[in-house]
Amino acid sequence: MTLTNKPQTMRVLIVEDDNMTRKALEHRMRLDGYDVFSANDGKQAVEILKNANFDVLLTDLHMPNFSGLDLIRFVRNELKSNMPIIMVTRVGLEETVLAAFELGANDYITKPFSPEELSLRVKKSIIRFKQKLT
Amino acid sequence: MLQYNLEYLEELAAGDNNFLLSMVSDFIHQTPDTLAQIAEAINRSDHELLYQLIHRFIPTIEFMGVSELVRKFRDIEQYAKAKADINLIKNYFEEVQAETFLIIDKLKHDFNQ
Repeated sequence: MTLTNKPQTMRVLIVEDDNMTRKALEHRMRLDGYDVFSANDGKQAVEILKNANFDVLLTDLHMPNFSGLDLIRFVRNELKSNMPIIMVTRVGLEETVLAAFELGANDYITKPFSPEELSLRVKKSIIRFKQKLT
Repeated sequence: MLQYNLEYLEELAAGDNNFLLSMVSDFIHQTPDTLAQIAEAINRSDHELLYQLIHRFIPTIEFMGVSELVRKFRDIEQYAKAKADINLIKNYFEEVQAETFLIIDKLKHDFNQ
């Protein structure tokens, strides 16, 4: 395969304020072959999203200052993007998860996450999104 | 006797030993600072900050597979959410903090850190 017909690598943006969880998500996504970008809070993610496109957004919900809900609201209402959004959250935040779905999140996975489940959910979300576009 | 269990971390690492060592090192070096922040939140009777700190810290303990500590930090998280008596929280946290340092010491010893 030449460089010219090399398929474009899918890009994932991970937004997570806990360093170790972010590192674990990054590791799994890299193992799956994605181009991985990260932000350690919602505000940093907004700046990244203003300047680049991604195939999927993985975000924590419970972050100080600019929460995951704020970020989802920004992506859907201001950025006007339909990119798949997967929440990464702990059990016990059911009300927040429901609010996130209302705002336009597509899926969620609970911490501690199963690596296999994460891989599958990301892959399926991207496939569903691409199918809608065709 | 408290013990760590790196089974979950090994599953995440998928054979990448550098990743595993890096996660253990992060836990050893970052946890004392987090515990100090938690202690400070308790000293200031700041239940909201305490809840935020504990909520963020629990996944870190889960990576190290210390289920007994996960349970105890969840207790503190609930106490913080319920704005329970701060002295009760303080006494409980001091016990949990000491146990967390025991785990750190074990990891330091086992991983030559």
